[in-house]
Amino acid sequence: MSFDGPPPSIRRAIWDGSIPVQILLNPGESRVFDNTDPFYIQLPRVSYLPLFYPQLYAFFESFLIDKGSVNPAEAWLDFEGVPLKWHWPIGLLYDILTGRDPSYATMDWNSGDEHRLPWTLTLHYSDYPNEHLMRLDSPNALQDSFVNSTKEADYLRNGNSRAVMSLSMADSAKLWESIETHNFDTFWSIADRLITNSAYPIRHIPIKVYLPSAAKVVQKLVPPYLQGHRSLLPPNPSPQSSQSMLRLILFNTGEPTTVGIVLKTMVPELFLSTRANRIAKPVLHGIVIPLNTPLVELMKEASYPDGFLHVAVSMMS
Amino acid sequence: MALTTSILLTSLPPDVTAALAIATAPPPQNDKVTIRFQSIGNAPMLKRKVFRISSGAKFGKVVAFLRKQLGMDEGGAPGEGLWCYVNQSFAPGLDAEVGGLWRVSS
Repeated sequence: MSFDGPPPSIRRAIWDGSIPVQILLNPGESRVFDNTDPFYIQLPRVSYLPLFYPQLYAFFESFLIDKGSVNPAEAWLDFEGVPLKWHWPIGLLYDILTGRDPSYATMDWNSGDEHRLPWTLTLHYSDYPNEHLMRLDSPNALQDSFVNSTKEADYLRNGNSRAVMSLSMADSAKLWESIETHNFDTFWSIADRLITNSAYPIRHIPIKVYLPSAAKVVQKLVPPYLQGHRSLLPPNPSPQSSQSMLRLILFNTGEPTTVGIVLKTMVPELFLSTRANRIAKPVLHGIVIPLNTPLVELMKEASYPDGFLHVAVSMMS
Repeated sequence: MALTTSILLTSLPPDVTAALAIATAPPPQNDKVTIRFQSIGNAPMLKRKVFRISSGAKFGKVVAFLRKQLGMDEGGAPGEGLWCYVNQSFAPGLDAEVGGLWRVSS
């Protein structure tokens, strides 16, 4: 292996992050019960499960007891009995459902560690868990969900979703295609305009914190800098007025909000200190993130493609 | 089918388990947020526009409630013929918690 050349960027490393997955067909739906061949696939962390459902159906079709009565659009997956939310990124699902410190994950099949890879999931085509999962009943459901999530992130950054709404038809289509085809360059050619080159100082950091057990999601308004920042903003910044000087000043005032500060505010029961983890650790893209990381930097380099920092909380044992 | 059944969480120290239980407890029933419905486009106006709903409720419940108020087919899919946006900006997932949405958008 050669180590010549510059190290890959954080963005690139996150985009390339993937999880080896073993998928089993629910034995009750297989004509050979639990003798169905498993399907192995390397899933990109920043992608979404339904994009791979056609591949799964193609593989498992011949094993189904009653192919005629199966609707491939009813596919869903579970991990240890927990249905996987199709509208959450795959990396987030892995981080929140496997739960513990990712640095201990192992490929050793014989180890008793529940983190052993591949991640084993079960595929179902019946008994859709309506109580736990939104239905995936239109061909555009996943795209709609993704686009709405990018709008929500835009709303948090700017107070409205104009940046996403004003993308041209072609660029909106390209943005989604870059997710479908997992194309890094295409994605960032558009996403950079939304995430990094915002016209105004960022109002809030798009962040969602996920707690284990009930898969509870915690959301709050998180300003990028600690004090006095927003009060300096003009009440209604308009694109016509040049705010670049003001922006320069604003970006240099106030301490940046850190991961530790936001966790202590959002989940005080689990993060008693802004500096040290005693009960729980924040996990993003399979990495334990240091509590002193400034959120504004994290947002620019380590957001999921929908623009959110989806942080899974892992409990320390 | 809660995640608590998972082996991961059964081996935690008692104090950690207790802290997690508090952090993930649903908000009390009487913790409510106020929602104002505003019709846009061809959507019919509601006679009463302001309602209060438990902060622990899912957004899907809001949409189902609205369908009922508008006399739409309750059995229909939640998104069928009815689109709901928060502050005219984004449509949350039907499983998003109302309290969280309220905190980031009011």
